[in-house]
Amino acid sequence: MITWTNQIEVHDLNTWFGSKHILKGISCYFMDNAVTAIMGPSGCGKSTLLRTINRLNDMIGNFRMTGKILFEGEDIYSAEASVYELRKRIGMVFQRPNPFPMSVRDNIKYGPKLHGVHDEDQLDKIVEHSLRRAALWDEVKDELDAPAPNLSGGQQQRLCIARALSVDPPVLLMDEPVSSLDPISAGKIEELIVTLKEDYTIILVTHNVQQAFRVSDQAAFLYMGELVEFDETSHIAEAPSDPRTEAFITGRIG
Amino acid sequence: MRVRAMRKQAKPLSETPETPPDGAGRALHTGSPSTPGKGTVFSKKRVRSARMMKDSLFKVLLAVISVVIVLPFFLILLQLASAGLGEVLGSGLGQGIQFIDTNPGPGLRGGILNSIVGSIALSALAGAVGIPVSVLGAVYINEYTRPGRVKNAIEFGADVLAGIPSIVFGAFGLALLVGGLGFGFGLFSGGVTLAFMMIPTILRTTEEALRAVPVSLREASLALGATKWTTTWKVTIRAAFPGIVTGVLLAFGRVIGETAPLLFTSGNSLGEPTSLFGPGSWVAALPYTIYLYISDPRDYLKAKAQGTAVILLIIVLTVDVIANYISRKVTRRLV
Amino acid sequence: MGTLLEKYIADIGKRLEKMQELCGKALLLAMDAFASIDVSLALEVAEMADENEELSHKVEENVIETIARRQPVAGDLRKLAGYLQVAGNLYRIGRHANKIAHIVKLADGLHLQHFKELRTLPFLAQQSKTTLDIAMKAVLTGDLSEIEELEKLESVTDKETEDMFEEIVEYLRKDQTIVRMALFYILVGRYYERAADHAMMIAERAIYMVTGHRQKLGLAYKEASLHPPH
Repeated sequence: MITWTNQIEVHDLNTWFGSKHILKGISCYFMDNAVTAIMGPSGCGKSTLLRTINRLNDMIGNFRMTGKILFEGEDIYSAEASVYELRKRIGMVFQRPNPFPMSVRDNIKYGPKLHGVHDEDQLDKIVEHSLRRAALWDEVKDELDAPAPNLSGGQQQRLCIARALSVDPPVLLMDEPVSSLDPISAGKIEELIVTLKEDYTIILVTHNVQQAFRVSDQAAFLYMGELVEFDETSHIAEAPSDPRTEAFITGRIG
Repeated sequence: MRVRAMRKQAKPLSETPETPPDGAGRALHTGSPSTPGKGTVFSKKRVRSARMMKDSLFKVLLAVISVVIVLPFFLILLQLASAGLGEVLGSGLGQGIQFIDTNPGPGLRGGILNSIVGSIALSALAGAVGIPVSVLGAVYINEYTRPGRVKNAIEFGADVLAGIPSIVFGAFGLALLVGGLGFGFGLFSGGVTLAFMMIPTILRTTEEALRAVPVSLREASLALGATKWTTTWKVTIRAAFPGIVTGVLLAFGRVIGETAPLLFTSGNSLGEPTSLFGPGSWVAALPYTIYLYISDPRDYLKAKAQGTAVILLIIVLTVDVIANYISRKVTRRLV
Repeated sequence: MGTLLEKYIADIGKRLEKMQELCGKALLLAMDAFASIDVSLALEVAEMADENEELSHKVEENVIETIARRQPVAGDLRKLAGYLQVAGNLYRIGRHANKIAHIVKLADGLHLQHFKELRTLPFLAQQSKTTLDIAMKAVLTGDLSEIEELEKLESVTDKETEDMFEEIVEYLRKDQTIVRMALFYILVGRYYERAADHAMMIAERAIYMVTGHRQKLGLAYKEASLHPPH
């Protein structure tokens, strides 16, 4: 039985898109049941790192990587690893809400059905449970069969969160989940994220330093593909070790 | 501040919503006694009316052009309606139904049921062959090939196919299906030839519809652990469905009205087709029938052609309206 | 965002500089007032202390506004938090000078006179001002180089204060009539020592602002001195 100290560990990760070297020698771990923020200026590789963790970058033809990413102690890029199992256990929420063009209910049923749940009662329970977790149940419970694209932006994003939670993944990846929303919806979702961390490990990519400070317990600063600093958020907010980190979070670069 | 407010108030008094170019209407409206700078207001008005004149002229010109564009449609409609409807409905609805309901009898009098059924049968077969090929082809091109030579070649091929004249398709059908593969005249050869004509249209519109589906939708499905296959069928195609249906219906609308391909492939018949191959499969079609009747010296057949044309037009219009409705109503749902 | 924040911080720094000037002057002037028991000088000191207090309120307002609006972090935040606390320390230094001025008024009112030439007290006054200047230099410019000196200064002043204490005890044994003035001497010495102590706290603030680490100053804390911390 493999034991591990942290659910997700990254060991000396390098990635390339064709000949462009994106991530350079990244090594870090992500604390369980906490929110880790990955922050940095645009184009520094934050999203690439996230998408390497759930192997979405496999879809891109010229993607290459060296190094290891361990999920629960196992190398996720090994030949025996099932990418479908991986993605069931590591969920993702994207920058712009992307609900399927189906009803709210069907959106949430999609995931569990993929992985073998067909009993209608069970599915309905999952629908309710997921929507409650995403703080959306009260708003949609009477209109579960209405088309999802009819919801407001903030509601749609919470639906996407509920959808990601529908398969009960221990880890949740979030790629700038509120940057396309208005401040009030964004605020609601930030608070939601903080409550979710009790049951899920959350890795959040953001370019908004203040958001990282508001929401995260641990923060990683990525600059030009390098992991410059990685520490508890309170330490970084008070006294970062690296001058580049200080320059970034005080707004002087990036 | 006060002066400006006064001017703002004064404007509505001296300015009217639609001042006729020569300012004739000016006299009707209360003059502007309290407006400061009277001289400037008047000259501004002159400039304004010159501009308004240009504007109105342009509007008129555009209206005329629009009428010219739309006119032929209405002329055709009018002509057919007057000639054809009279033929179809002559002595009331009963005759109209008879027109649609009976096969041509001795001397080719009677109805055009054979043509209607034939057209439907041909289109159905064309669809049965053409739709899966094109839709699956488009799915393959869009979802499974990378941008590159193969993809470009296939798309180029489809575009070329779309531009080939319909009679060439007919000749091709004759050579390959009727003669070469020995299927002979009839439903099968005609239907498959029509299918070939449908393919480029459906391929391209399906491709467009698939491309319009945002990548993040596919990613969302993959991120939940779905395979590419499941994602394509349950998400991408479902999202593109309205666009695909529209394309299919439009292709149908086009194909129902094609004559040339059928000239050499479908044969003709006075009744309904009874089989897929062989002499029993010879089938009539509405456009072909129109062609035959109009070329016939007998006057009553020329009149019948008008009636047939009306029926054909109604079918095509119905298909187009449905396609339009679907594309408008359903595409809004896709964020 | 960086430059606007820097400007706000610089403005607050200027206010602190003014407070430093006032405190320094007040400390020395208070000594002059006490040496010559001159009430008019004492009143001047009181005025300076009031102006000092006003400035400390302004600094507090500015810091709060800057934090709320600019959301500073890391070095900027430590600096602002440091400025806020330094303003508080400067305020107290001003008050101590004011208390000395108050004693001058009391002495004048009671027509007291000095019974010896003042030697230690002026020395303490000067030392407290020096400590203040070094600490404020560290705060405003980030130059921590002279802070080590402060600990040496402190040990000297501790020694002097103890000596003065003993000296006064001797005087009181011989002559009971000078009790009030003698006690005033002790009090004045105490106030200067307190002022110097606040200046030391300012220096500790400077260390945290620049390095992000907290360090306690004072030989007593390092157990390198026999004198207990005051």
